[in-house]
Amino acid sequence: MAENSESTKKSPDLGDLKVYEVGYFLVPLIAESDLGTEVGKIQSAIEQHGGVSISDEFPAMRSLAYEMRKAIGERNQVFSTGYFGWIKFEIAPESVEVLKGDFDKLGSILRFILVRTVRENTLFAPRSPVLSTKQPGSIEEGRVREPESTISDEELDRSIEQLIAE
Amino acid sequence: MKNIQTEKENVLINTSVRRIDYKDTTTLKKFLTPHARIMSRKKSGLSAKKQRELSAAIKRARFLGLLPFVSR
Repeated sequence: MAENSESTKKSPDLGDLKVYEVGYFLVPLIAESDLGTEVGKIQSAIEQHGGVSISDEFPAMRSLAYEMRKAIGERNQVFSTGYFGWIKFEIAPESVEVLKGDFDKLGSILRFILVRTVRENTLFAPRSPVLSTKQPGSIEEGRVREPESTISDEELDRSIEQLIAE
Repeated sequence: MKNIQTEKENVLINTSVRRIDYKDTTTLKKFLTPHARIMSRKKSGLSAKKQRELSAAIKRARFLGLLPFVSR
């Protein structure tokens, strides 16, 4: 019995990990040279809770669809742009709520979203158009159907007559 | 009407978009009306499952400021 309970226990380090993704907007007040440090803070928060990074996109300046307010110091500031980036990682579901709290405390994040996702790349990359190698007007070999054995009019008439007679 | 439906279906089928991503605003914008409302299933021509995925992705993108809530 004791053996059974031990065998059914899942190891907390592996099997329980689920793939999550955090998409974030960093405040535009940060200098581009300091972006690496800010991303490092987010990544270290993930690693602190046993998360393993799978893929990411470095933040890039992007305009917001609507203005956002954030309290910086004692004043509310309005932003219409921000640095958008995302990190896909693997973490135990129990740690997600704590991680969310950590992200809330980071002052450089204007807004973030933490969602469950899949390991595979979900972002569609448009494929470049491939030009056809076929020459215009050329006919492919094997596609040309050879005419079947020709039947003369007399043979055709005879076969019709035979059919009528039957 | 039929042509619009097949066109919208093709956006997801021909471009091999198997999972709708909230970051893919180019694709998501195709399913918004000029007022930035989510197209009905009748107009989008998507399956019920894909329409639910699309709706969730658009709402995520709106929250994050990648897509507008309203547009004039």
